[in-house]
Amino acid sequence: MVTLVFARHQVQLFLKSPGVMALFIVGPIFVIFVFGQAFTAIFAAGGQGFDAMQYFGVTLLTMAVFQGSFIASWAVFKERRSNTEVRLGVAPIGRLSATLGAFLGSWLSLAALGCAVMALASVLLSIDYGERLWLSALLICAEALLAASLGVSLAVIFGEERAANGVMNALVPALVFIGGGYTIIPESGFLHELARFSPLRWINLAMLDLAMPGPGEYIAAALTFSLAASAALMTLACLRLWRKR
Amino acid sequence: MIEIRNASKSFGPTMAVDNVSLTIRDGELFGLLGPNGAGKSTLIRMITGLLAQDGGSVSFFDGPAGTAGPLDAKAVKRMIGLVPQDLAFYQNYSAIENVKFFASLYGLRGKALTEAAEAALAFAGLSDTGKKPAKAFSGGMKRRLNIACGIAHDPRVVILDEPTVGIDPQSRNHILRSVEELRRRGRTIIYTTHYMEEAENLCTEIAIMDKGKIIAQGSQERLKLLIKDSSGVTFTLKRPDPVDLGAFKRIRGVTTAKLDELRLCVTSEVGATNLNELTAEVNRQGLIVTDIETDSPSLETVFLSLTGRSLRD
Ligand SMILES: Nc1ncnc2c1ncn2[C@@H]1O[C@H](COP(=O)(O)OP(=O)(O)OP(=O)(O)O)[C@@H](O)[C@H]1O
Ligand SMILES: [Mg+2]
Repeated sequence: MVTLVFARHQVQLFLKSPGVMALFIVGPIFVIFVFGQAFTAIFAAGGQGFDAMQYFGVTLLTMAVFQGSFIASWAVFKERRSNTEVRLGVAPIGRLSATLGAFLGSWLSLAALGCAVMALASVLLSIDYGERLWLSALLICAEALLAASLGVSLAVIFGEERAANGVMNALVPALVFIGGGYTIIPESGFLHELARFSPLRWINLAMLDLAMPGPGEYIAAALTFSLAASAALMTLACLRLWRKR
Repeated sequence: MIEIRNASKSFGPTMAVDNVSLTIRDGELFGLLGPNGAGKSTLIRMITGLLAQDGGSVSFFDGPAGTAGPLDAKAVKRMIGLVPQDLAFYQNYSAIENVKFFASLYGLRGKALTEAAEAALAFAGLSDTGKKPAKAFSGGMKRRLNIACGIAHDPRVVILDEPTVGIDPQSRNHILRSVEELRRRGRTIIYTTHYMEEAENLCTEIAIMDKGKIIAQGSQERLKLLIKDSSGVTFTLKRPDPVDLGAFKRIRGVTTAKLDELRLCVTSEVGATNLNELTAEVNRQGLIVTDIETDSPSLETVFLSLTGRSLRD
């Protein structure tokens, strides 16, 4: 129950920051457009089977959602910033339920944002997310879950905003890059091997495959990777909170 | 009832709270008076369970101690309402959204929640703030919202940490009247301040804290008695004439005699009734006096006489 109160609280606070919301929606659309335009010739020469706009329409969308981990860490640290931590500390509630609520709330916000970007990109930039839109949306939701887990667990584990954000600042772009966010991953070689460790790689493959339209072969892998990583991260966070009591 | 026994807390070399023992009875308006850095907020954090003490204990009882065992942590949290020294609410939320959120942490839902929040806002004089976000409030309104957020769940024990710092007299009066109203409603109140006047006008029991220690404690009357034993007389002189302080010190009952430019201050033991001898000595030395003051003790003088410093430097 307390968890739900906090989830609602998180979504409500997020809705009250229209600037952040706009940034998270307009930013990706803009970047997709720029990358799509800039790489048109290269993609045409490369014979990828899809054009640059289509490729970045997927990979930069998943990048945007993954960057939502910063929103999730903010969800934890905002109580310290607004000094409301003391009020939560004296209230008859557990830190665990409060943190889980922040996690749930940021997941919902990120999933909604991701779907909003997807809808806008398909309308404004005519990007194709495949016939089975609900599957693409499901992948975005799974990714949002992972992003929320990453932000919340780092926040809980480090307990200090600058440390947590520092780690995310290194980790998020790296995973986006090796996941194929900014460039196509070659069929073989080092980057190809490395790419399998990025959850974004699997989500991107699955979504591109849905758009092709392909048989949907990566969907299971993408969902499994996201959910497993997210479960692992949240378990760590919960253990940490448990031990702190 | 709240019983604090030998509570201590240090931050590195600083003893923020040094072996403090206090008893706060139900329905009391307990003032914790002390200058900046005395350790008031640290003690409050220990009472509310936000900070673990290095040593000693803080226990809450349902009724007087001894009738039943101390309450468990959860029960204690339910009965406490904290108004922290630093503003603690969400700047983007309106007043009612803030109050409702914090009250909902105490299990209030639906209609009961709305009613409680509205009552708390009315109590704090913030009923007509509508959807305006808290960040657009004036300083005094923010202080009052800070209070509303701490009391909406109708706690039995209300702890206010310097709730009137840095605000206009109007909001300040409102807050002081609110605190009195809480007391009338039978709440137990712990009120920290470094304003003497507030403690004097408001509190039924007062503890004076300095450098982590409780240096005096009791009802106002008792505290003032503490220094009645050194009632003072101040003669304001017309000219900076030389004064034979030794002669004053030899007078029956006199404890100190000091000359501070034109002010000759003589303190005596309580009940010395030596004003006649003092004036006689003034005349004997040919001093010209323009004014005589005898201090009726205030908490300010209590603090001064106990620490040798004034409360606000
Ligand atoms: N977290 C902390 N780390 C280090 N020192 C601290 C900490 N909190 C308090 N102190 C120190 O403990 C002492 C008491 O501080 P405290 O905030 O309890 O005083 P206070 O009586 O509330 O003062 P004020 O009237 O300024 O609010 C001070 O010397 C302060 O510097
Ligand atoms: Mg303080």
